[in-house]
Parts: sequence; structure tokens; C-alpha cells
Amino acid sequence: MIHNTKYNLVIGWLYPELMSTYGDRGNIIVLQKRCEWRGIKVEIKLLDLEFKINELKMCDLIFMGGAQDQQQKIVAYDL
Amino acid sequence: MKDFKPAFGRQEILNVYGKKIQIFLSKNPTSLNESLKTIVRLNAKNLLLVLNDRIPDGRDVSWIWDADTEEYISKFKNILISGDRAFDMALRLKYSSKAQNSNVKSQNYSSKFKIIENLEEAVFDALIATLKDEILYILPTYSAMLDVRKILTGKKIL
Repeated sequence: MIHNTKYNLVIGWLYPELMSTYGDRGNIIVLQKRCEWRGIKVEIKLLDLEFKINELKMCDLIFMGGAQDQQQKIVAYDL
Repeated sequence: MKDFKPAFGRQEILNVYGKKIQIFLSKNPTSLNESLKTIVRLNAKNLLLVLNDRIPDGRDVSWIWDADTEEYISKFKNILISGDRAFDMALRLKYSSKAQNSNVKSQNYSSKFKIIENLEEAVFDALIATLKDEILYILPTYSAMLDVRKILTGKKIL
């Protein structure tokens, strides 16, 4: 395994509890594994309801699942 | 209780060519997790996963990403993958591998599992790989389970 400390990636996962429907977390699994295989240090930040804006500022990449109307409404108010 | 016979495809045990086969219908994240958990507890060595995307199964196979395959996949000796969406399942397993391979192009992390698209060939290949005192565990989606039973028993039930 390459110990490449040159690169690290912080992925922000927006509302995993509310916005995950079918297989959305597969995107996170794939990004995480691909980083690991390339020796890139990866951190996944779970940004659920009322997360701190500073946490979002630390993210290099943001991911969010699609969800349904009800959940989208809750998330829209939180954002 | 010992005379209880499960409904077809649900933990059903079959004997074919002197080999024991047990089928665990696995059609959504929860049933796939429970099937894997149960057979790992039974010290399963041989696994055949069959993923179909026909109407009775649901056309969307993205549910496989919600199953916790990474927790169980390292426990098996032989893993064979088949079905209409065999490559989707193979990809899920590739991303379930604990191996942190530095060489991205290396095939090492996928050497533990084999893909045979044709179900009949897959079933017989899995049977050959299963030793006499071992059990072959088959985890199919619904339509795949019907096909597996037809191959193994020669009977059509639906």
C-alpha cells in the first residue's frame, strides 16, 4: 500500500439519515474505497440536522442523496 | 418442529449429486444481511449469489449498496456470482473488500470471487467447488430462486 500523505480528502455527506433512499450510500463507499486504493487519506463527515457551518467549510467534496418530498422539506428548512 | 418444512426457497435444503444445498431467499438489504449473518454463523464456505432484476425482483438493483456485505464477505472460501445483474453484484463485492491495495489495476482483491453469467453453469460450477461434507449456500433474488430450484429439482413450481 502506498502511504501517500500528500493528499487527503474530506467528504461531507449531507443528511445521511434523511436523504438516503435506494443505494445512495454506494457513492460514499465508492469514493472512500477509491481513495484508500490510491493511498489518499479520506475522512467522511456526517452532516445531519443542525450541523455546524464550520464542519461544512472543512469539506472538499459534498455529497447528498435524493430522498423524497417529506425529507426534502425538512432539509430545506435546515439549510 | 423437526418435521417443519420451509416454504420453497426459504432456508430450504436440497440434496443434489450427493451435495447439500441450502437456499436463502435474499431480495432486499435486510434479507441479504440476515442471510449472510446466518450462514456465516453456520460456518459457510461456499456461496453462490444470484442477482436478477426482473419484475418480481424489482428492476432497480441499487439496494445492494445498502446491504452490509463488507462485514461478511471475507469469511467465505468460494464465492460465485451469477444472475442477470451478476456484474453489479461483483462490483458491490469488490468495494466490500478489506484489502487496501496499492495497485489499483491489480486483480488481487477480486480473486476470491468468480462470475459466471449463465445460471446453470454457475450452479454446477459451485456444486463442483463444494466438498462432500460441505454445504453450498445459494442466496438468490426471487426470480433467481425459482430458476435455481428448477435447475436443481428439474421441476417448475410457478
